[in-house]
Amino acid sequence: MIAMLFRLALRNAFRFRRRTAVTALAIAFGLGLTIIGISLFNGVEKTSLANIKGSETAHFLVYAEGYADRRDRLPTDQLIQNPDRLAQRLRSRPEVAGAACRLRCAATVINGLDELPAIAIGVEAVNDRRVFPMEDSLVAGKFLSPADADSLLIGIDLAHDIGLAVGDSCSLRLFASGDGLAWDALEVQVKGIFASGNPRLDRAVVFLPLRLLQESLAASGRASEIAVRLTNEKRLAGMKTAIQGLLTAEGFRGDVFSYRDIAAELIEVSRLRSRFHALVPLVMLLVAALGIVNTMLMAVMERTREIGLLRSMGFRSRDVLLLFVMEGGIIGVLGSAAGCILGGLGGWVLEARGIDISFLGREVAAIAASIYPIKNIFYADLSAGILAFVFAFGTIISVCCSAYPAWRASRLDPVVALRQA
Amino acid sequence: MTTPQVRLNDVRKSYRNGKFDQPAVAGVSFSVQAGEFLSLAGPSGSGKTTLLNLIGCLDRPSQGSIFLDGEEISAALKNRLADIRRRRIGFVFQSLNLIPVLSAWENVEFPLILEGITDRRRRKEAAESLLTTVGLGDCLQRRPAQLSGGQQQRVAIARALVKKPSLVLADEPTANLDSKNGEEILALMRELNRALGTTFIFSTHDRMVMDFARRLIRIHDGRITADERLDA
Repeated sequence: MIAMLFRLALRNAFRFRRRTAVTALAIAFGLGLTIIGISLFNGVEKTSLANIKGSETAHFLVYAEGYADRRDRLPTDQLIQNPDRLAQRLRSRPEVAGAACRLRCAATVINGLDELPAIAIGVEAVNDRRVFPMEDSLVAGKFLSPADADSLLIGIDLAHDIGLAVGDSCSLRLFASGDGLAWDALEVQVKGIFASGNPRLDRAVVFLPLRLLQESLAASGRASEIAVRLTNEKRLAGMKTAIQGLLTAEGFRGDVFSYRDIAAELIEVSRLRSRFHALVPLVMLLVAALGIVNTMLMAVMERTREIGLLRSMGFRSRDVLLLFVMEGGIIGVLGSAAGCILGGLGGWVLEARGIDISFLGREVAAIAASIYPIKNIFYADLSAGILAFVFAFGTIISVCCSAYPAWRASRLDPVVALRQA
Repeated sequence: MTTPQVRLNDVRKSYRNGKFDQPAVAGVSFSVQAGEFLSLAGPSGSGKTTLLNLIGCLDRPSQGSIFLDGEEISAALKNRLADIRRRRIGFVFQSLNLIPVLSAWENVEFPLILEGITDRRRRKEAAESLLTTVGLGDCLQRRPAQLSGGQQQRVAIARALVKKPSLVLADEPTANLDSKNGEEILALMRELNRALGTTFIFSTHDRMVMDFARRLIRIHDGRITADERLDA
């Protein structure tokens, strides 16, 4: 019986091919956009986290007590004492691939009459490379070496804005916060220019030798943070407590944050935005679903006499209901499959090539960069899970939308239905 | 005396028309024995179709009782009525009798699927055999749109008979056919009635069609005005 109902539903679905095709295409269009939207937002989140992890936080950041709350103000009066010893201790753990001390402060880069605000980060030439892959993002010059005394790495956008190239000299004004604002000025030479893909770094960060910055800020033997990279990210959850325990045993009073803790706000904002943005294709999908309701209601109206005929042969109400639900489901499956192909292709192209939002203008790109640590090109992250979810979603929506017309068909009085010409 | 196949006792049926009840059948009583070839005759609106719908379990009377093979069906639940239609009654309507998306043999085998016969070959053989009997052995694969009106009625008759029902109800089966095709269809129905012993009850307002019946019940304004035995 079910097989017969399905055969009948299948043939009825293709009875008015153009109408079925238009309805299925509307669903396909809505679902395709949904897939592209979801995969793009997933990609943005994934790239954001990768950029934060790769250029700002590594897997863990260790701060002195109270520093995290004032982190954005770049304080230099709440630093980690003896960070080298702690970093050394951390590096002794087999799960730790690297631990590097960093010192941060507010700065301005001065080139002649031009002056731009920046963040100066003091890094250990050797240890930092084991934690952050910054060397890979150099587009000109070389990375800092232990022998460098007055060299600087500068973000590509900042270098462009202030007009600096490798080999140029510039002044750096450093601001130390504490009992009162203090500053020092340095003359440095640009050794390298980096393009990390994280606009927060590329537009506003300069890297200096850690020792030079410590001396300039009168913070010898101190650091703002210790960045830790694990050999295997899967150990992230368990290692946080382990690191905290290890540092506490060393007499350290401070906090350990995973990159997920630090990016929590961004992740949440990103998810909220994703949900909001996903509403647009969802609304389109609902419009398409209304198309199914319309198509199926038309089918019920046109085939009223046929329903009467089926009832006269012994069809029960539930058989009629099932027949029309199946018919709507078939249109839904067709539309969902086409939508998955459409969205899958779109998502695949966006995953491979990305979408460069710079064509929307500098202002839009700047707004996007203020939200996501991604520079211009947004990549999608398509997965079989998304396709399966959207396919199931589209089919279920279609079946649900067919339920009302099918219910109306099943409620038709056979005598009244047979009277229909 | 044998139990009549169909028995109606003071059956009344009215339809709501705004605030008023419009009587379609107003106190009809008669019996039909198995194997009869009976015509319900009367002008349009006389209540023929309503009577056929009531006997065919498509509708329930407002008053009175109807018995089919001794079982009272007037108060049966909808699903029970559907079961009776599925197993015991075949219908032939005036027009648009067939499911457009199914071929001739698929239309004929359809009631067998509804009856739960899962053997595909058995279904196909039964359908082919009946289509050959009604003269459409070479039109098995044709869809209704590829058949003439007369051929469509033949397919409908084959479909009505395929499950070997005890009763076939035909509502003006020749009304949409020319006289030649109409006569052929009636001759076929009578031949099948004789050969298979299936009871046929058909409605008509056509004199020529009435002549084919062996029993004629005349209806006017929802009442029986005559019940005649004819020599056909």
